[in-house]
Amino acid sequence: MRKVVVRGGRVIDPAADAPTARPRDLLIEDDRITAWLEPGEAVADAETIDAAGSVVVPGLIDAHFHPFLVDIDPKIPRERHTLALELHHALGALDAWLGSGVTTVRSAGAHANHDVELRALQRAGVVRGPRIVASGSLVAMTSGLRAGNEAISVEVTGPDDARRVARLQIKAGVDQVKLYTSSSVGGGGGRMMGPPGWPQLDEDEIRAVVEEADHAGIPTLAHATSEIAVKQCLRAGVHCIEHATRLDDEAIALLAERDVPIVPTLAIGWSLATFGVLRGFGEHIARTAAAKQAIGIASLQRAKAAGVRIAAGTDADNSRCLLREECRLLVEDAGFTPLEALRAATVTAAQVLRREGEIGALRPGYLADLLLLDADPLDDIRHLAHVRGVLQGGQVCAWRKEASVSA
Amino acid sequence: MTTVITPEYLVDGTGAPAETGMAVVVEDGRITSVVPAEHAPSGPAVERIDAPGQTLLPGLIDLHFHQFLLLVERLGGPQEQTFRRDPLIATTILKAARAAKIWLQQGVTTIRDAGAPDNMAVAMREAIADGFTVGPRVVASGALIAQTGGMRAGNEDHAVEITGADEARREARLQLKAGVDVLKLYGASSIGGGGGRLVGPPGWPQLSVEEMRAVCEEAHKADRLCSAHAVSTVSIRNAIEAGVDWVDHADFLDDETIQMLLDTDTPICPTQAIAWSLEHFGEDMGFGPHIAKMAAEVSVVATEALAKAYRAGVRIAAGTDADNPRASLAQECRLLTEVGMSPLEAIRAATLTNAEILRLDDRIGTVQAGKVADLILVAGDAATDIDALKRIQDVFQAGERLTLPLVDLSAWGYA
Ligand SMILES: [Zn+2]
Ligand SMILES: [Zn+2]
Repeated sequence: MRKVVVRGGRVIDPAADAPTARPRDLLIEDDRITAWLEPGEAVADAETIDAAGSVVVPGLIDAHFHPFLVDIDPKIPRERHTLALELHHALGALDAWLGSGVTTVRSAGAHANHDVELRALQRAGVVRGPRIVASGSLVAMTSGLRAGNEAISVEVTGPDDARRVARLQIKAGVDQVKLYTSSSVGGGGGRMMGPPGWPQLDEDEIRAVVEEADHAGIPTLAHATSEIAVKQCLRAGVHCIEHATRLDDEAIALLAERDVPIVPTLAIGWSLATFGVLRGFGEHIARTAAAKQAIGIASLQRAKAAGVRIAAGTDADNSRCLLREECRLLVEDAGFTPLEALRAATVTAAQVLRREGEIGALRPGYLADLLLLDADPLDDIRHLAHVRGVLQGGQVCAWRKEASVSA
Repeated sequence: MTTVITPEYLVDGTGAPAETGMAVVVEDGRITSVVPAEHAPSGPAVERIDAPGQTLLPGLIDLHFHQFLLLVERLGGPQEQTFRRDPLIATTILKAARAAKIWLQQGVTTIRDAGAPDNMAVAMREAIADGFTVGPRVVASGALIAQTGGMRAGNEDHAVEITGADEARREARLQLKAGVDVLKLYGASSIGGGGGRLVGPPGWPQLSVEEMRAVCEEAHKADRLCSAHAVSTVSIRNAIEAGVDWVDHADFLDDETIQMLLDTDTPICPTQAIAWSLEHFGEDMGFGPHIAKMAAEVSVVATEALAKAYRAGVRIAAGTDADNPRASLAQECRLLTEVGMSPLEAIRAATLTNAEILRLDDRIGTVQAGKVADLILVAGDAATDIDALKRIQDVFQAGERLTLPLVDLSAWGYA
């Protein structure tokens, strides 16, 4: 058994009642944290990781990530994406996320269940990156996805058809089933421009999928951007709502009553509004994104006030759109405290993934996923950007090269 | 031609205590009378079979056997890759015929084949009935009716996968036309929890109540039966609610579900023998150690639940689900005594109860005048020593005495 002590750091356990950065050493045995130690407490036969001067937080969890959608040049038409191109970018994205302190991602969808394959490669030790919790292809209604985006989904009509696809997805090995229950915010199907976020899958179709997932003991998550879609999902028993851009009082009351978390994904909206044009999107996309962002933030604030649980996810399509930006936006634009933002990216995200007890906290029994920061993110959430090192399952997987200071 | 069998002990299958000094008279394949030995017919035209020290019983009935799954060879590799169906269909069928003979020589004169690819159990039923090959009477299930993606990767050939009540109904109708006697629903995942890459909770519920109900309705319209493979509590309840005639396996029973079984008078067929054999001999058979561990874990829970169901008065059938000769019906009976049944009760489960469930109790299941002379002789007093069932001396099929063994298992290392 390999023993490692992370020494000299100040540790934040976001699952605690009133967490602060406290001097504490962490004993790691193989891939798990096995004890909290008093600073300096001796352990026989243990390696040391020097965390002096660092603040230690749990590895972050991006609750909404698409490994195969990051950093592909928007000018390359979708039909010209090759698997090699996508894989190249996926591996790059996973590396970037891991380096920024994200040790687990919930893949919110990938075409042809490629995220399930990537997860298999990770488990075989072939590919590194944040641990993937995979959704595979989205279950969407017939003609639900925007033209050019269809490949990420399997399209269904009718509850039996939805049920069949859910069963096939489950057999393929997804960790959760992703439903696409409303149009994209842009309103698209093909040439049709509907109202933003118009409801797509019917409630009985959604319910059939939820029933199958419940049988198999896995959760569902639903892309739902309008109040009608959100309410349908909640009545059908969906376990987590993605985006939740436009919410009315009834939707918020239902979210609170059923204790269903939301993943607002502010980062993608911010990124489109800020760098969209630069990245080759049209002006109108950037403008729509900014308008939609304001609506999403207002909904988020009301949901939070009603006690709805919130997890952090990026929906990133580029590698600037990191989870630390999501946390920053939660604080600076949505009025979260830094602790609330940190919890969204750790404790609550772990609940959403049904991995509580495994990840999202720094406690004995948890996987040794942790992040060493230069300064305390509870003072300023922007300190999440100053990463000194990252451990995943007890292994150092990123360590900043310190600039050598010469006289 | 008249045959008179005079065993030391007679156990008639009804659960009544053993009798001594009796003679069973067989004419033209039927039992014509059971009388005190001194009143039995005699003379040159009467064949007498004296069986001192032996018990005569009804031929056993295995309510859950798969002719197309029994192997005596070691598995070649990890089970996921090398499933039992041989690439050559002829080999598959010859192995099934061998399996039928092995069960017959172990005293099983009737089996319910609980599911085979392409409704092949129906073909076995006819081949045996027509005398092309020797084997027990077969009551046939067809391909399992499973949900889309329901079968573990590699096992799909045993099932037809459906989604929706209408698809389920269509498949039920096709199977009835193909001659299936008992429609078999696959109402839960395997114990291993698998679908493909998914390892879900053991025996998680599959098929909806509506899908199963459609199949039950079609079976009952045609005066046929319907059973369901069900493992987890919810899957057992779903099957009962859908109206199955009995529940196969029924591993995770809670009090409420036991009450449902009682209220609907639905029997269960627990199949402990398979788990027992995997737990103790799985590695010899070429399975990985995790299989033995899983079998052991499930059987702890299932055994406790079964004992509770027995004490509550649930009707309990005997079936093996055997994939190897050790998981015999005699072993299943032994395991039934370990949850509290008396040997006579365990024998009743494997004879009259199973005959009642299959609605064949007018013909088989007891040693009584008028029944088909499916009989076995075992060494010792089976009413006090259930393991006597493992010491088969003679098997009679409709009065015909078989020459044993039909298949010599010692070549494969079985005792
Ligand atoms: Zn997304
Ligand atoms: Zn079976």
